[in-house]
Amino acid sequence: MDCRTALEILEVVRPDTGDLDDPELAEAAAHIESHAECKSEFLRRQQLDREIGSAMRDIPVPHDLETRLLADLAERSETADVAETVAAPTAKPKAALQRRSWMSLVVGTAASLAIGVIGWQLLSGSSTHVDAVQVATSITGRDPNFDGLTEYGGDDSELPADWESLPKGLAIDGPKSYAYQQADGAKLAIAMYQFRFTHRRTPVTGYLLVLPVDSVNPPPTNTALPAGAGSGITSVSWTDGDFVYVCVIPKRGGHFRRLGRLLDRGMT
Amino acid sequence: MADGSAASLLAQLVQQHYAALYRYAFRLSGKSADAEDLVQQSFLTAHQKIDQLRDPQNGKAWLFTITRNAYLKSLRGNTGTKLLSLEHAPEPGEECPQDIRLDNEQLQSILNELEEEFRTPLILFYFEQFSYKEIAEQMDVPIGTVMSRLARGKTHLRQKLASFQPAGSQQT
Ligand SMILES: [Zn+2]
Repeated sequence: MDCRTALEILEVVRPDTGDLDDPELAEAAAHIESHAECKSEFLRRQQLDREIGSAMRDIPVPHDLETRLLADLAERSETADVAETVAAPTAKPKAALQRRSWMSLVVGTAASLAIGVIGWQLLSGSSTHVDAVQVATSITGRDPNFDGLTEYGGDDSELPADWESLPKGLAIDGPKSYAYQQADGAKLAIAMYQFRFTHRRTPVTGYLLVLPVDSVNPPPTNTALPAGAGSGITSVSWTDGDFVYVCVIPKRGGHFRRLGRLLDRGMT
Repeated sequence: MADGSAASLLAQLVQQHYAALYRYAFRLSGKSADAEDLVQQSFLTAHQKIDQLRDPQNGKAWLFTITRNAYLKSLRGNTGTKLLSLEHAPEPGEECPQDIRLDNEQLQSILNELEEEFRTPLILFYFEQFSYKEIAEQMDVPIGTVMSRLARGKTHLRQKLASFQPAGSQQT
């Protein structure tokens, strides 16, 4: 590959992201690694990208825009005769899903995990167990897919103890929980935390799934799970007290190591 | 999706993305009043089409696409200004200018001159929210097209910014 082509291809690389690891850019990336002049030109462009990017994003947002948009929305929702308020936590769960912690939510059927998304089923009794490996490897793409799920208001869950005082650079959203009723009447509860490494300009995002230990057979000890074939997912699961945690990060092992380092640092 | 959860999802989308959408709309249109209209219009459309959002995780990309469509719609029938296409611009590959001082208005005026098909990938690239593949998806064009538009657009932008830097420029 010639210099010009390599540099041109690498124009798509956003600074300080994992973009350069994109296999489709590998040849161009290898070129600049082997050619100092191109490398320094690339780095110069990246530096300029940072500066232009920060100028590009530097636009003051009208202070009351959010309020106006939300008011607008509330008005429209009222017009549409929607009785429920927009606040998620108070959203009424479906009748079949009592307002309980989703952790304690049990449903009495051997529903299968057929929706092809991150998720798990919480089943009554112990008729069926969720296999943590299966849960983690059932993720089929970079972004989990929650097709057909409705939001569920019950959202109690527990973070692993290590994550409770978050190290700098790690942020947690959620948990988000979803309720899903299958055509055959079987019910699934799906919930997750989303976490981000915020010290990067484009945060790396992953998911933390929390399952009651008695729904996982056998509960993992400290098991690094293989990524699902072609899924581009790295995951790890472990057991802590009453819960099993499955942590998944799209794409790269490097991201996992970064998470590990963040947590190590937070704990010392 | 039940109405209540749709409303809740929409409120969440507003809270999470209104600022990024406003900035995007501003860079597309070049004017704050237009940007506000576009954002409002976008959420109106989102409200009407919320059932089409299959995966709330894709909310951001979905909204960005809606905003761009609203912008493109607003352009229809507007043939006033001749915009610059970089389709036949010289091949990228120049040495990157060393010293560029960034002026927000200049940046916007360079964007304003460009045809939308070059402006949009540039804005999205510099916003850093989407990869080139995601930009291609949003614009519904092949990945190679986005790569080439980005390379040309960035070269053009750098050259224009460099040309704005006369000796003893009036920066304060
Ligand atoms: Zn070279």
